[in-house]
Amino acid sequence: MKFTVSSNELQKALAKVSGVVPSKSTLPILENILFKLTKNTLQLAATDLEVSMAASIDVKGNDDGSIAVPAKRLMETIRALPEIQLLFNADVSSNKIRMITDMGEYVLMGESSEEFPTIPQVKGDEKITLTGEMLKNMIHRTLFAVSSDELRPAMTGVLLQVKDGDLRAVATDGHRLVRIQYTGLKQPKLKWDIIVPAKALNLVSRSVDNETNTVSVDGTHVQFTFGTTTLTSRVIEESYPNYESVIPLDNDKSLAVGRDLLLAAVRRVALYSSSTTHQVRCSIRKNELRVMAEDIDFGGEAKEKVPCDYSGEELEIGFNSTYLIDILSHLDGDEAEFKLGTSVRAAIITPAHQRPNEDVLMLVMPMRLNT
Amino acid sequence: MANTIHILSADIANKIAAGEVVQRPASAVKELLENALDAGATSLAVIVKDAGSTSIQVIDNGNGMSPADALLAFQRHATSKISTAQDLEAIRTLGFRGEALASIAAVSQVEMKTRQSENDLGSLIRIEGNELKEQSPTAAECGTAVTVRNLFYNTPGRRNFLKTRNTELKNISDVVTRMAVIYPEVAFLYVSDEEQLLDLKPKDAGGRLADLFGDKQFRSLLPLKETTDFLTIEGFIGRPDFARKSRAEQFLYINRRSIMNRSLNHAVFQAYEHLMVKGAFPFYVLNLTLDPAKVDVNVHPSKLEVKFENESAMYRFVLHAVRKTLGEHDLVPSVSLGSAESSLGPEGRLHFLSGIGAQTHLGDIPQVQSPGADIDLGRVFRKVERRIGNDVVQKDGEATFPTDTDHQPPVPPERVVQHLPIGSAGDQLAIQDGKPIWQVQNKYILSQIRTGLLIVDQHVAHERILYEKAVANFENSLPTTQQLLFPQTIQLTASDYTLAKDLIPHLEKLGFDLKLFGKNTVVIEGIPADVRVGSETQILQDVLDEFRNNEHTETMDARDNLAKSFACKAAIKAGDRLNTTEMLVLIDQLFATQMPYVCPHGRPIVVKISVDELDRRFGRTVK
Repeated sequence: MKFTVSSNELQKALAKVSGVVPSKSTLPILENILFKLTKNTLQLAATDLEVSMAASIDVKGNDDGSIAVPAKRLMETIRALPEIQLLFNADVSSNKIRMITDMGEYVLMGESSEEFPTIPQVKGDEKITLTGEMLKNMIHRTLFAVSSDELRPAMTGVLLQVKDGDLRAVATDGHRLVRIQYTGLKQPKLKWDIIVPAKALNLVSRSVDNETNTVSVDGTHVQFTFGTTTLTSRVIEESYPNYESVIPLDNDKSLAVGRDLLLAAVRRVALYSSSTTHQVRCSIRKNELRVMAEDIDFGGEAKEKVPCDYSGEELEIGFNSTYLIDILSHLDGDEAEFKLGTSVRAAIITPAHQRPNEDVLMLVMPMRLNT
Repeated sequence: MANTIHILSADIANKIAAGEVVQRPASAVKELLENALDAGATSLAVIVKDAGSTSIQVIDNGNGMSPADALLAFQRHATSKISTAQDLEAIRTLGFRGEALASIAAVSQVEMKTRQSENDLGSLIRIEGNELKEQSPTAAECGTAVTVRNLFYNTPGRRNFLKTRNTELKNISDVVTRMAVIYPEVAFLYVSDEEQLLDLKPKDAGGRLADLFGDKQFRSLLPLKETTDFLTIEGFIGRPDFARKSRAEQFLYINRRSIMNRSLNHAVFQAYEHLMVKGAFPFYVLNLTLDPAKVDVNVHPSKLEVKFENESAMYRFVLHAVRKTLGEHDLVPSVSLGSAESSLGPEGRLHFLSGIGAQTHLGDIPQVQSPGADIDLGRVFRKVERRIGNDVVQKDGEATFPTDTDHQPPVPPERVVQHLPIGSAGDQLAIQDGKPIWQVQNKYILSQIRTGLLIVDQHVAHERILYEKAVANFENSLPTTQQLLFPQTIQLTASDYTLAKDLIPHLEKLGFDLKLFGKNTVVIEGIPADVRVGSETQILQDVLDEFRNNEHTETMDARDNLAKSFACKAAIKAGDRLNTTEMLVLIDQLFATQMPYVCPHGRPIVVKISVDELDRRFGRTVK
């Protein structure tokens, strides 16, 4: 197997797939990147058995073949090289790899490509097409609410639901929830209910560019395709909690507040909250929202007034400030709208102005105030 | 159909009753010893053959019995110890049911010789399987001697169920030891198959323990005494590093009656907190004295278990008494750095250093101002003094303490860090006279103390301070409840469900929000805000288990772990440079904690090298 490539081109391709390579693994082969040369196309692939990525670049090919190359040493070498032509020459029988440049040569030992796990391919034509921007936004606004609790695997991913031409992305960790709904998909007959692991989405949002992307699904895997790069991930085969039933429909108190104003206020006041509970207390009355925190352990307290638009009954409600900050900082627009019920009922937070074809809803469970 | 129910004959009834009271030779020994002690004996002999299956002989020098009493004593429910139902409320004797002799006589061949001091002639009684074979006047020593031969000869089933000779003998030895520990004023002779196992002279409580367990073990004990209006606790507890791998050496008595009680046992264990590694059990001898009306001993055939009127108060009392004693004593491991004559080579081998006589210098510690340090150093010293001065004041019990310094016990092979014996705690931890305090390798704090050199690990010291602060914060703060989006439903066992139901107010105080759904189902709607997300059901289950085991839930394990990890992360690290003021404040705060000697994870915080050891290392001969 033999090809010539510019070091910069190779580095770009490596950067795309290298995020998948596990830093430690009991299976040493996973610490390699699979190189596969077919004529003038080099395909690079990496996997951690859950998530796999593949990318292709054009090279000047000489001799078809494939080999697994140790990822860490390869990447460090390529990164350290200036822009230069590189001759990659691998002897597939001895697994000896030589990389030759004008400056010298580097020899490293690879592994046989047969050792490398097969990258799953998603077959079938169940696919949707999204713009890169849409995908990126969707991931950005859901990932923060995903649970890291391995005991509840369903919540460690984002639910992608396609129904009646709508796409929904839902994330929750049991204390807060995000639901984003896109209308106007062109496939009204498609019906999906899959949970995509957080790691896969993280990688997608890192490698996505602004081209159109397709997402395709079969029984056990989901595949994201952007340009020549594909990311395939096993889906989490669990049933997602019934999130619809926990979204209160009759929260009748509505509060409109400047998002940045409130976010900044909560950030400052939270500095004075208890370091174990992070509790902030919101006291809401006509056109006035007061945010307060008290740290009994160390004797600190803070309060701020934030102007708002509110005409309901007075209400006191407590929140974990980290949840509130997370939600407010992932919300679009200048103004946030709260829909509140009682002090122990979930609070619904939405942007005052939704983007076209989009409906974002965030929800946070309060902390009970003990007075 | 013919009637099938009939009254059992007296013989069978007796055998059934005997089955409860006399389960094995050791129970016969226990009953006979109790009778002897109740008779006011000051000297006792227990002589067994074949682990008691051939013969058990208990000889005392107590009051003895008249010939008529001697015969009556073998009747069921015949006793001199109580006479009215009210007496049951105020039992001060070990026995009271009048069943022991009758039960033993029902299943063995018994011979009893007894004489009262005012009579010249004693009487001899022989009974086999509850049948009187002989009664005649005889020459006898003052007191009573009972010989039980061929126990269970007429109940072959029971005889076959006896364990091996070794096990049965161990049980008898255990009974004798438990009695000997709590009756130090009584002489005990214990012989098995001609071999003298124990020959104990009357001593005080401490002396008896030294005789039973050896001087070295005894020196590792801390005396304990705590008195309230209704309850006195007195005894000894072992230093943590003398812990045992089993519970065998735990002696608990109520009004000098040996009992088992899981709750009180746990209280002692709890008091040792992090001082014990998992699987280790502290040695202790504790006698609780309380009004007999507050405790019911008539709940167990062998009277091994008792019921208290207020068990949780007892729990707290024992917990605090033991914790206080542990906190007051100098538990600092004293180390030597390996002696020149050591055959194990030069690598740092530590060994036991025996202590220096107890001397307190309360009050004569000079006040000092360290240049540049604007804190009141005198305050530091006084605080330290106060903590460690206490244990000397404590010694008002009947025990005496070893103060000899010349005895150098052999080097224990594997355990390298040991503690100074009691009585030497004195003022050893007072940092002297504003002597400089150094930091070594930005890791350890070194200072001179009266008896040598004190070394403190700065990281764990700070960790202990922060840990106690965090725990106190948890206990004082209002509970905060994070409501859950998806309420967790858990299915409990029927008994857990009832427990949860009773505990709802308590669980709410911890921060849970629970709804009972019936059919043993509980729905968790909110959890304490400081616990880790996702483990709600596990934490609830843990709290319930904890409660069932200890009947109290002052803390949650989850919180304790949180406090530990908070303390570990927030503490200064090895490698952080400290100035003099910082070091002094650290030490001041350390000795103000409840347990300045070990960190929450069980590592030692303070180590001490005595002057003696330094002298030895430098080849200086010590007088």
